Amino acid sequence: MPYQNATSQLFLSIENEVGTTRLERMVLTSLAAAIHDFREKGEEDFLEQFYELLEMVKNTEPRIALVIDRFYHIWTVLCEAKNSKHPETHLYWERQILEALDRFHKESKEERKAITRVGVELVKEGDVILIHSISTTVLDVLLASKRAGKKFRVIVAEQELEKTSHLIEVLTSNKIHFQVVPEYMLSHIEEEVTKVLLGGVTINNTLHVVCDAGTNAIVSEFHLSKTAVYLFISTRKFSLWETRSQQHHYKVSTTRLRSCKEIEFERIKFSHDRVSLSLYDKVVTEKGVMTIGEITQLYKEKFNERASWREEFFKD
Amino acid sequence: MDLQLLVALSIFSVALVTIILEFLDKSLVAMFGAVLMIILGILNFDEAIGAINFETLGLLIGMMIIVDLVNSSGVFSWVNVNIARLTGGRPWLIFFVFVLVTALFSTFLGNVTTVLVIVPIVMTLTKGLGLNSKLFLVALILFAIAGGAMSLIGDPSNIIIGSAAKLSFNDFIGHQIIPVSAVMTVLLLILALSRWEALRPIAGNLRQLFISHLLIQKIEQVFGRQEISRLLVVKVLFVLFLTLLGFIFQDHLNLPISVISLTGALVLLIATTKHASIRETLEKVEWPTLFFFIGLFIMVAGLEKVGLLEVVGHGIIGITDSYLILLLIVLWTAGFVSMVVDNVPFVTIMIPLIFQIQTSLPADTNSQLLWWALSLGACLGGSGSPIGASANVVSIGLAEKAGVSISLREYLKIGFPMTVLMLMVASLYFVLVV
Repeated sequence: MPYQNATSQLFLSIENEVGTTRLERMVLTSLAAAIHDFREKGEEDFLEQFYELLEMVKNTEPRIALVIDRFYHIWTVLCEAKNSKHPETHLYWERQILEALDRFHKESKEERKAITRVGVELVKEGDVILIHSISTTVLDVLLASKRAGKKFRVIVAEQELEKTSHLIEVLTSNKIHFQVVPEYMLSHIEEEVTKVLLGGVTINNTLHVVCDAGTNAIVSEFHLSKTAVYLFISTRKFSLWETRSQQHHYKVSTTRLRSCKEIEFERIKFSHDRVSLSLYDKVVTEKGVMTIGEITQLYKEKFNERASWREEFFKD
Repeated sequence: MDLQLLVALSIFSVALVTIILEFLDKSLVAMFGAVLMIILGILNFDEAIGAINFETLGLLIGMMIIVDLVNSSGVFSWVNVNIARLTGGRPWLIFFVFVLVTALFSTFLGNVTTVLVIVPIVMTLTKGLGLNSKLFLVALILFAIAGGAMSLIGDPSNIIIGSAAKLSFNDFIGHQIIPVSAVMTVLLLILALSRWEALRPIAGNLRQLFISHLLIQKIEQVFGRQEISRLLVVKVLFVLFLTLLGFIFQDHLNLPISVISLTGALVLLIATTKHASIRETLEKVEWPTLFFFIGLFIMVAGLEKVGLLEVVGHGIIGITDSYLILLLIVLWTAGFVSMVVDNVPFVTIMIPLIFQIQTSLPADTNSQLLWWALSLGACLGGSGSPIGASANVVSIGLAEKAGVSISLREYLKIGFPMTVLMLMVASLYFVLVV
């Protein structure tokens, strides 16, 4: 249980700070390093510990779809390796997993490039683009558009200082012109914005996008003002299982003391928002730009494809 | 009893009790005590100004500026992240590497600065790995304090002793290296052997290895994000190196140590005008601490003037004829007092006492050993309780911020016996050298 809690906290904090795409990369790198350093006591020990690790990763709160998808594939690689009856047993399994991890890194890179390519096509000359949370994919699109010589302006919807500072650092170091507007004052620049580019953690089976806190208000506002709102998400980010709870459990409650007046009050923070997929205009994936109808269809197909996997992988 | 003596003693006693019980800020109490000494005629204004040890203040101001600029250059974060990466999340390696780095940094940068830069990263690392963070916290404090005991600039009490007794940077390193190295070796061995369960290798635990590697990557993100200007790093390290070199060659330079420290600070401020604002840097100087020292210097001068310290000095000499026992009395008294009281007031009051005692010793006695006994006792004793030294208070506060709370009992369980052990090793040193 302490490992489970530690992993959940670690996943959540990394996702919050750098997004799920970076989290996936860090998880894969860490798994490769852990397997490399692991001194198992034979094949049984390897299998036992690997399954414990698998359990730990698939039961984090929240479940990270991108990571679970990778672990599902690692699990299938291990199953295949076990069935091959190779004489070196666990050493062979280890090698197979490490090769798979290497392959995943390459695939992720290609996938990122594909989404970026599609995204760059969307950015037009003179665009005023609103961004909000730290999305590696959205930042990739902006950087690639800048490299392609496109002239556009970026407005950063200011949220928590730490996260917005990170965005500011990236945009500054890449010489992308930007302005920062507090997220509760966006109505004043609503008419200037031509596109809203946002990332997301996952799309779940209730067809909601789990994303950074504050996104719901932005998507709703620009949906009402009929400004194009694009969601950038890889199809591997689909949560292909039943959502465990409609309630969001990532609530952080803080009690602070205002020293000047000694007023105690409770400040409630939420780590994520759940935004109805229908509020977005288009979804940009590695497969191209999709309408909400198309992405819903794709989600349902994938969800059905993984029915037997769900049963086996999440059997407990 | 002489009325003036009674008044001076009352002012000092009330001030000391108020400082210990933390009713008011200690700098405020010390300054008020000093002002009372003047108002009530114990000292006149000129005597009070004359009592201030500007050598100590100059050295402290200079080092505070240098250390702040070194810290803001991001070089500490860079070093820490690389050390974390080097350990690969192995508990025993985190323990050994970080405690030794802490001792080293503490020797050359002071124990408070050291814990400020090292405690947050070690707490994040050990808490995230599910290790016994409290053990690591107490170990860091013990080694910060032991490392600080080795040099003139490692602990505020050493700065006061060095300035008063005209002991150079080299004198400190030269004399303290043997007892402090012995103390640290024994401490490391005892801690590692007695707590091996918490430090054992994790190579046989895949989940822990995975979490370790992921956590180190996270630490690289969090602590390594600070953009580092190479030019700034080169400048601050170069000036820090030159200042330390100045301390080492102080005798040849024939300059007071405060002048060397202030020169280093001013050169660095000029060299970094583009990177750091002088206003912000000066705001970060711990002015309340400096005023606390000023107040103490004046109050102790008051006690000295009314003849109280002379009486106490003769009293201590009268206890024993044995120089070794006298040294051990100084060492252990300083040690135990420093566990419950800030060591600075104690050292400040002990300095004129030591001078008194030295005048009563036979000519062939190595009277300098009394300073080393005072320094070792005051520094090492500070680690015996959570409030014994500023480094402890700062570390515990930083650990709490990182989600690691340590109770008084938990601290004493490791900290107190280890402090007694350190004082025993130091005693053995005096047994061997006298």
